Amino acid sequence: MHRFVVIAGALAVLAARSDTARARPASTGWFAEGGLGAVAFLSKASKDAKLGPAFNLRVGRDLFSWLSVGVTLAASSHEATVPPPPEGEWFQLYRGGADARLTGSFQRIAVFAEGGLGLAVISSNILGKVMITDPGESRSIAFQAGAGVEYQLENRHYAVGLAGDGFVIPQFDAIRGIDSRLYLRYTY
Amino acid sequence: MRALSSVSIALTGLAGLVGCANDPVYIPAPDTMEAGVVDMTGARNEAKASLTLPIKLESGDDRRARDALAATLDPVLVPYVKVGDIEVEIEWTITNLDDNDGQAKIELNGANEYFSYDPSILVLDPNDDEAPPTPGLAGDVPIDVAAGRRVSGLFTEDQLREASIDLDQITRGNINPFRATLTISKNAASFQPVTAPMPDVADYEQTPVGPEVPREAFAEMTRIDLVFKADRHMVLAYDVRVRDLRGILHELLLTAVTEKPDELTMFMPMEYNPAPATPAL
Repeated sequence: MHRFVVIAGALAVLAARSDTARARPASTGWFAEGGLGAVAFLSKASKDAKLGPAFNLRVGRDLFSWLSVGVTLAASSHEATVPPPPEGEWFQLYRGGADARLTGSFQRIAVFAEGGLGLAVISSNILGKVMITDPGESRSIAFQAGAGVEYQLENRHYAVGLAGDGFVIPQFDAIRGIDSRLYLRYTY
Repeated sequence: MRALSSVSIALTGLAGLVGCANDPVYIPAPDTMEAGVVDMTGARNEAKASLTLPIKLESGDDRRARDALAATLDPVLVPYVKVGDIEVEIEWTITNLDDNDGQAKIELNGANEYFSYDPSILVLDPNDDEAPPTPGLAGDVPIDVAAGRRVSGLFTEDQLREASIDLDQITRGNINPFRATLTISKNAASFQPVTAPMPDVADYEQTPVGPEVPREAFAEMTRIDLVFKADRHMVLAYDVRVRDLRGILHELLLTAVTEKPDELTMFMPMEYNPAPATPAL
């Protein structure tokens, strides 16, 4: 009986000390994000180019836990649906630039808003048929802004996120589009 | 440091993607072609159109490289635009405007910087009234187009490469157009020029003349000629898709013809007609 009381007392003491382990905080500093998603054009351009797969890369640095800056690179591929001919032809849209992101964290979940500007390059003049590009024109300034949500994984270096950005490309007849992506983030 | 490496890799990758020389450009035809309209004589009209590719002036370096190659191949002429410098494709759409089903044909011809080829002016056998007409370089096959409907198709890069070599064989090489167009030459390493044909001379045999023309001296087609025939009222729209592997197309494309004509090379090809035939009396 005496032995039982001693063991029970020891277990009670251990149970009292073992509270739930706190999640490790997310890393901050230099980070890289790679994402896959889709780009769809809006309004007039949506008739001339189909939704296409997209690849995104963002590299940057957290200045504070709530503010980061980075450079982004994105490439998407689209089937042109201009009046024939041609038919079944594809073009690629490349976008690159700098951006800033404001983040609010709630334990493992973070929501953010981001915006930036950069350069857009189109791979061919196929949209010239519908006057989106002018002769000899393949580059334009581009603006983008959007928001997303991020989930911090158990490992403090990794997070996954879902983001959507709207962009406008003024020199390409001000075409607008939506870039949505699922991404993985690694913070060094 | 690792982050900087990532940035470098990403920028290098994007530069590679953006700088791809295989990206095509599209040159829309200035006008559509309308055929199959009955004229006052009761015949249906054919439509003909030409599109000259906007080739930039030859740079000094290109000229020197060409002269060096020409010196090694002398007396074979080396063209500025060679087979393999550009890859051309023609995409077309035929619309039948009639209430009845019909058939159309598109015949591809053209010109390189030396010669143009128009089979309608070549009579290969003037003594035979039933001889088949001289063939075009490609196409000329019947295409069914339902009433009020649209049909699209293309002349592929392979067909255009074959047509370019056939054109060079026929014009510089004096090779019979039937032989040139019915044999596959797109991978040919060279061709042997022969003496000019003499349609009026019975049993005349062409014989080899001069050195072989090697592939590095094959001339690429720089002008696209199309003949559109239809047995109903139809319209043909087309554009020319070019992959500029050597960077010799003007970036303004056809706009350069009006805005920067002094930056374009103006080729003056001779019409190929080695022995104008006179019908037998």
